Amino acid sequence: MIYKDIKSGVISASDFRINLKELRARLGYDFNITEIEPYIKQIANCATFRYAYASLPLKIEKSSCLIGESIVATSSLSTILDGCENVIIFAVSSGSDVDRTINRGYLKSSAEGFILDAVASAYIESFADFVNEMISKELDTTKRFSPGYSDFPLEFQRVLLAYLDAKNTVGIDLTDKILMVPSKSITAVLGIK
Amino acid sequence: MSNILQLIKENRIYFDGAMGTMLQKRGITSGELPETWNLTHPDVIEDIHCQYLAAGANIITTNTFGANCLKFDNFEELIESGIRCAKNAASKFENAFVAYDIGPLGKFLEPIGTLPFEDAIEIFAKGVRVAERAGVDLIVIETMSDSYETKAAVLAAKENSNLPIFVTNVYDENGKTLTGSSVEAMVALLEGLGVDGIGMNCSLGPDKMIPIVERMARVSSTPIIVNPNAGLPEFIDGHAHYSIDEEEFSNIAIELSNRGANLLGGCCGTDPEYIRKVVLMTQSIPLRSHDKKEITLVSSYTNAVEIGHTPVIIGERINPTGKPRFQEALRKNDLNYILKIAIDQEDTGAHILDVNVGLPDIDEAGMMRAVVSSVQAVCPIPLQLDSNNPIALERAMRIYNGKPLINSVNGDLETMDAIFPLVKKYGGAVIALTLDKNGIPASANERVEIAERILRHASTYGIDSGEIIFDPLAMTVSTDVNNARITIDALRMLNERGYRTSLGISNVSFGLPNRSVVNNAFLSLALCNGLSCAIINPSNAEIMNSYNSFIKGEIADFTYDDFLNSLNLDVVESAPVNSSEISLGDAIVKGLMDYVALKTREQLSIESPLDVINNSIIPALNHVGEGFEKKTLFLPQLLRSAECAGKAFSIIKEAMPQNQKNGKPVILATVKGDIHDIGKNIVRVMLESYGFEVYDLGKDVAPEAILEAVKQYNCKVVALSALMTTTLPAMEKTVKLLHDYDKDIKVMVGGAVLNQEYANMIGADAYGKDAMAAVKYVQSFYN
Repeated sequence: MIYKDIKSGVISASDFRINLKELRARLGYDFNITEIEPYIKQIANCATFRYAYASLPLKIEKSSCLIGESIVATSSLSTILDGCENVIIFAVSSGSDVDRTINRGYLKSSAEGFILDAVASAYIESFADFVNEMISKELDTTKRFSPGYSDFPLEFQRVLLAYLDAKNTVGIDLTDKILMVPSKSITAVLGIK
Repeated sequence: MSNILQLIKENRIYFDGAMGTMLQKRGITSGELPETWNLTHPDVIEDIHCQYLAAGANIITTNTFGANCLKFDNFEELIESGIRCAKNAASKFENAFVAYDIGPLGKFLEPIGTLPFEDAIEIFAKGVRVAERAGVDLIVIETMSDSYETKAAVLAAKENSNLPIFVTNVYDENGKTLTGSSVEAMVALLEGLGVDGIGMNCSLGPDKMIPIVERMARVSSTPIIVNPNAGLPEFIDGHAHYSIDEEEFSNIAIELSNRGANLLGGCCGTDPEYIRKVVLMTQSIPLRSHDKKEITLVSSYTNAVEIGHTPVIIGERINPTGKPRFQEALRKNDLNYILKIAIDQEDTGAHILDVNVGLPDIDEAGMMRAVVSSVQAVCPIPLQLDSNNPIALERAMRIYNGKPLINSVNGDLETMDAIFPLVKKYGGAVIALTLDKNGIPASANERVEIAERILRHASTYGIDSGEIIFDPLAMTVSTDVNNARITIDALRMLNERGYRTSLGISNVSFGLPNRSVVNNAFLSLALCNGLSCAIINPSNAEIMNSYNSFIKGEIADFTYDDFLNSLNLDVVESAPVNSSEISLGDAIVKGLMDYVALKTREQLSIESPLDVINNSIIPALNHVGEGFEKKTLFLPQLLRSAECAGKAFSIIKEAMPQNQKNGKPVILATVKGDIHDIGKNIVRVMLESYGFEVYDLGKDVAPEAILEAVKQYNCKVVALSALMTTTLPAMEKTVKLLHDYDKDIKVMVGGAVLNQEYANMIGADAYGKDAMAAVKYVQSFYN
């Protein structure tokens, strides 16, 4: 898969911060940071934050989008991308060690597993924001929209990940039920205005 | 034509460069799959091979990178034609070798992904069989980013051909593969499997590979292959342009050769000009020696552990011998119990975990396989596979992700002839007990003689002395105090000969009081006499203290007399610390795990088990539950309290007569297709803490399996969980199947996508909005 213009790389956990607001929302209470700090460190230590993105041509016809060579029937995405001629597709993941750490946490205690799970979710969301910003610094983009949101079919995940050669660039694979592995992974589409 | 394996001993050998880059120059479009050109443009493929051979390459790799049955129905045809192109080209040159090229399958293997290990082996095997028939000189397994997939490909190659096998992996700048394997871990795995060349390709430019080659050269005794990209790609008008030109590439190749790369070539972005320059610049640089390194490595999928340097700790607790609770876990297939022990040992300092699951009344081979793969899914340290059943060992060695320790062989020929062939096939370092058919020799000399005999026999299988770790057998001093001296003498003699050693420390104190003191002393004595591996319980803080003191250099000269003194020591058991005026209920409400055990026992001494439950635990849980509903307490606090209650229950359970156990069953499952089980696990903890008999069927559970459980446990209340909208149909199907079987079965549903309306729609009997609601519903069902 060497013919495509895919940008990919690894970002150190020290180059961005976990969004604490996001984490509070996920934990459901206003925690004391010293209580949660060790869990944040644990996830940061085992995560490898990888990203990949690429730009594709876009055509909108009524409530369908032609992204690259794939047609997607989705009125919500068509509305967001209205007026754009190209899109960025992107994928981020924090790696399989994070899933292992969460599973270990659950084996030790449900509370530990739950907190690690929430920290890992908030972390990957924060990383997606970071990569989003990195792209938006260079390009004027719309807000990001992920397969599975509203009527944007989850099936588009297959196309998006295949295009990004995601197994090799970011380390994301799909199950038959279109769940991403590792579980702490995010994909999205951004319109280029 | 000479043999490639002979040739690499004497000369620097060159691989070809990129195929894709060349095809792009010849007009392949981005939608076309390169392998199809073997059929549509065989002349072009042959010509590219010829160009590389003319530039000085010795090994050309067939255009079959992705030609597997997952991606192509006609993979056989593509492989055959690809090999034909390469052979036609090779026939025109001297010393030209054709390598059947195997790339990754594009799917992660279990447990990270969904592809079963044996399926992956079979997919690779299908290609290898075609290549073997078509006739190639060697097999190249390349661009592998996962150690487990690499192992599957190597096993497929070994089981279906006798061809030389070369393997190159993809590393990032930190020297790790995508799935987290270090350079050293990959070397351990691949040398264990006995491949003929080890190295790296793709992803990085040659400059970034220099430190990785250095690390590899430190531990590897196998020729090192380096096939870098031409730097990083930049895209201009949809075409890739690479940052490092031929000149710079070949200059860095000099550096790579000096650091130990004996085989060189190129990956993405390189062309025949790169190869020509590399040959020119590096041909005369002397080869790195392939002498056997005196290093013993075992590995997991992430890291390697070196044996014979700093002493390592092997955790002994995954073993049912003399442990009724562990035996019960094995009989009930309670893997979580075993996993907790694994994690606890890793957290307390084990470097390697022994895994023994032998019980007369279970399927040991099946259990060994299940435990090894489950432990590897959560513990990234190497395992010691411990069994006297060769079938169980083979099953475990096959699926083990890494290079394991094998426990054990001994001087008996029959044992060695059963185990050594497995070691040769799958790789592994072996613990060898210095005993034989005649039993354990009474003298140190005789034990060392058996060790030498074992080494000689191992060498007939091509197994090197570095792969054997001798156990001179610790025996209890309760029968004869001289036993310890014999063991230590044998240990010292083995150590003086440069062999690696291992001892099961606690055997020394069997039948004695104050075992811990004797064990500590014996460990110190053994470490001071050169012990490489101590098999101990790392969860015992005292013995870890002895180990750590030795590592810090605080006990360098512990003598046999010091050990004898330890046998007479009387140790006063330290009394439990008196706790403050806190009640059991308070401890549960506040989630104070440290106090729970003590307080439960105190309470049990003044009232009956049932009273403790009714007067302390249930009110505390209700208090927490109400707090949660009113949002004055939050989920993590609720869970901590529930765990404290669980701890209290486990202590009460011991005190309770069997027939008074709360036998009210509940079945719990996350439905088919859904793997989210946070909610379900919370409900389980809560139900268990209220005393219900919970049958947790796990996640992704088929409707039929749930019905089976209903029949098996004669249970009429079932709780189902789902998080994704896509799995609601599976939930509906399950409800229907259960109600069709027996309309009196009550099914409660819960999870983020559900509400009362949905619950009604899919025919459920109740909607459990949270864990407390679930408990209340099950209580009302039984009242």
